[in-house]
Amino acid sequence: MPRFSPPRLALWIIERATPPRDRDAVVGDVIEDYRRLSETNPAAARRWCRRQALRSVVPGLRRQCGDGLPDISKGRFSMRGFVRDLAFGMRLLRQQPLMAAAGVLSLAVGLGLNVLLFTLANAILYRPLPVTGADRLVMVQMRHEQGVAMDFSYPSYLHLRDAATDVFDTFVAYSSPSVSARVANGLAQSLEGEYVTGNFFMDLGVPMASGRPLTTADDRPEAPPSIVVSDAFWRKHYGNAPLSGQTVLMNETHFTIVGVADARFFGTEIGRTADFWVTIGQMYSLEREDYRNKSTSSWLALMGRLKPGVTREAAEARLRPAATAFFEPRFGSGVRELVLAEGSQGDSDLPRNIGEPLRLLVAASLFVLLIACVNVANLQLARVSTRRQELAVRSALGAGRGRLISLLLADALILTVPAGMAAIAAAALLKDSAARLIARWGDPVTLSAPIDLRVAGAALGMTAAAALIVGGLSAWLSTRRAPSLALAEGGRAGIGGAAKTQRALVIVQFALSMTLIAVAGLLIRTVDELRSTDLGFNRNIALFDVAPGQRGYTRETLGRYYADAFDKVRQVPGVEAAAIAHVMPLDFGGSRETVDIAGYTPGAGEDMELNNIRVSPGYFSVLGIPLVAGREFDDRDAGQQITKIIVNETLAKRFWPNGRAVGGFVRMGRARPGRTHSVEVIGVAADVRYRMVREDRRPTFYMSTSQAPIGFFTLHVRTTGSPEAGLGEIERALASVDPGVPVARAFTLNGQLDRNIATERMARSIAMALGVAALILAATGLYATMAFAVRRRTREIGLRMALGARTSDVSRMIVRQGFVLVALGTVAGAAGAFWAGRTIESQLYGVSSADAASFIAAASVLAAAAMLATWIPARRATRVDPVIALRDQ
Amino acid sequence: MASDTLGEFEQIVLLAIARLGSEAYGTTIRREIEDRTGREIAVGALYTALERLERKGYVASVISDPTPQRGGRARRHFTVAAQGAAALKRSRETLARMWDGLSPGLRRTR
Repeated sequence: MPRFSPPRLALWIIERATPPRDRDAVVGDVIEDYRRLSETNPAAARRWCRRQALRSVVPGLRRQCGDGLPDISKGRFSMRGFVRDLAFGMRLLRQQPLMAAAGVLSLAVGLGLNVLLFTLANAILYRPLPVTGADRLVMVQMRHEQGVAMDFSYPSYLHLRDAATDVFDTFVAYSSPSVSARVANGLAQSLEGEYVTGNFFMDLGVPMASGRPLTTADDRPEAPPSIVVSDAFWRKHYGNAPLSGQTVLMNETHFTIVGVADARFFGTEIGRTADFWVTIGQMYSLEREDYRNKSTSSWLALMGRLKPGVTREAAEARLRPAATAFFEPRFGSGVRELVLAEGSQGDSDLPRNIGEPLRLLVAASLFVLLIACVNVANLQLARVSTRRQELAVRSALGAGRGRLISLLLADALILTVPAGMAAIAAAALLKDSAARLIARWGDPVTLSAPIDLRVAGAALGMTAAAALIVGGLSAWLSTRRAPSLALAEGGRAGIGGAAKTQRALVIVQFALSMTLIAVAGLLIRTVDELRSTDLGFNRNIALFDVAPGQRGYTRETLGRYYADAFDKVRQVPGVEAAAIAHVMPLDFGGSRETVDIAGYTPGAGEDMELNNIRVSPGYFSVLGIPLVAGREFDDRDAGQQITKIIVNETLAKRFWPNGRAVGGFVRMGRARPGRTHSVEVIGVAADVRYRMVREDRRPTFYMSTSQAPIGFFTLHVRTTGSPEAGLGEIERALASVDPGVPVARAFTLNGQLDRNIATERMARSIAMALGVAALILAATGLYATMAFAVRRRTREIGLRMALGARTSDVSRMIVRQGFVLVALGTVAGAAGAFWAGRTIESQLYGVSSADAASFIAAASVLAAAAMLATWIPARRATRVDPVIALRDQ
Repeated sequence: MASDTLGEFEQIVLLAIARLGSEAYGTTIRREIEDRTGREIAVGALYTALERLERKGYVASVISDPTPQRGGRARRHFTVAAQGAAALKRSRETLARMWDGLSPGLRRTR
């Protein structure tokens, strides 16, 4: 009867812990006692059994590994001998702390790089959303002919939800907008929010830190406004206060914070961290727009969780007819198809976008780890050469290969275990900075990348693999030859073949380092050049995204708002001038319009779609863009229609080669038949690089906001001091114009420049990190090789010194030997860098792919590292006492 | 190589076996010790001690037939061997000699 059996795991442990001789008796005892105890109190009996199991482990191991085990001299592997080897190895390492440090450092670099990358890869590629049954989640998508997935309207969600009840046990809809909101009467800020259906929290099983989740009762406009905030949001605004009915003012609505989501829950998209969740029924309070009844606005993502045992295909077959029934009358047939996509990570495009490069990086870093292992095996070889005699004596006394391998494995473990721990610590320390390198459209992603069980397991596995490789390699290299030879050679034995391999490896490592560091140099110069390049405008500008249009301002009332805003902002001390534009510089995009030029006949297929920007009077002087002809916009240009434009030099030269652009006419409005009209060119502005630092000069024209007002704009402010210093005060002034108008972002044009070149900065940082890692490995490798060489040549050095060589001669000899390797590696690496530079030429800016300065700088860094790595063994060589070296026979 | 002195736990185990007579096997020995000393004994620790005692020749053991109460497992019955009895006596005498002249409060009486 099962209830009379002790817990199986406990019994299994006890059985394993007992030597076979007593197994029957002991297990019998436990069963008998368990049954007796469970008659009165089954729970106590189970507890007793578990206690017995725990307490049987140590005595059991002692009995099994202690007495009566294979004798060490029999040459077999034994746990006891291994522990002794560990202690012995540790003592030896204490005598050679530099060797130990070099080994640990080398492995820590290799392992650290891998653990760090795996932490990121895990968060991006493998970690499911932290909700219940994430492995059964699917994203419901409507795929267009071209495979583009489209969002859903709220009515379509309701329709599909009713059809999905037998295949899904959960079906939620959500939308992830950035919402600009004023929190707790502070300044407006851009928050990442999620509007979710009422069943989202309960049905998905979102973990909560405190309070209650949102429910279907909250999903009604008339319900009291309720909000769930993220753990980070709570800490930032409320510190460690307990949750007790706090309200938060979001735009004009006081929301009661009913719950705080667990720190693990970042939302539905990897790479993005939501600050708050509000039900779709209540989003009107934030958006002033209720989309729920609009069957044509598609704005929702749908996520379902398959019932256990239901396949994606079956669910798809069930849902397709329902989707067709809904969409066909509205959009016609045949153009779209319902698809269920794997959804354990939600609808995240980060895994798709950077999955491939990330996997490549992981593979590359595994290769780096392999090099590190070979390096450390080499280092061990130098040590083993001193222990060769000891090994030979042990071997002669009957220790078999197993014992010797145990010895070397112990040595390897002594180095890898601290390295593994250092690697995990380094990864934990660096993961957030590393994650910030991953940018999308210039903005860093916010990634929740914990060191979870999977990462810890991978770290453990890699550490164990490294230990096996290091131990195995050094064992193989040093037990290959018969011990009798080693005894006869008295420890002076060269391991000829191995030494050659060692040197080749050092050359390859230095070559690789040279390539990486030279490329890093090219990229560092590229970033510097991009930062300092003349964009044609003044970069010391503070920027503010303002959206009066979101608060109901119209064409008629916007002019008043602009005037008030300029008034308030100009009163702030330090503000020199301000202007607005509907696109800000270096933001990758902008608007375009097709125009006709009076008196110009376009060539066949000539692109007449031109960049354009709406700017306020004063814009050109605020940004310091000189006017080469004509005048800037001013108050005279006010009106209900666009009648005046300013063009840039490129546009002027292209369409008015005679130089008489001012006074020329352009026909606009081709996109709106019947509303075309001519506008006059009143000025020509100097060219600027508007969308990207790297862009060519593009024909661009400017329109005036006095004639074409805009509800969403960026205020550009020039200050006397640094633009960063004025951000807060100007933002407050701006908010005082109309507290209801959110200022979404306050930033600077210099910051904008950094976002614009985020890709280049990322490439530079990765190249630098890899270069430094490669160099540390190369230097360790060189150090090991030279240390080994000095050991091998102790007698020779002694002889030289006895014959009158000075210590400087000896150290010069050793250093020269090391530098030959480094020089060979550097030359090969320079060739590699030249090739790599050519390959990435399109990524470079303002620097040639064969930039001498970068190459020389890289070579100098290598030389400095090589100096350090050879200096220590060289110094040791000079300390050779000829009397001892020669007597040592 | 057998040592003449017995450890405290070894003495306790030997005494428990002696008290139990023919009924001395793992479960009863452990229960006897637990009942009398009030401390829980780990099965593993008990068998480690028993094995050591057997190696020194202080106890002997025989395997009995399997019984259903024990999930079909056999019992190992222990008895105190002559050498074990002698060692116990020696330990007791040693202790008695050392206690001689001391009160339970470790005060000299003579």
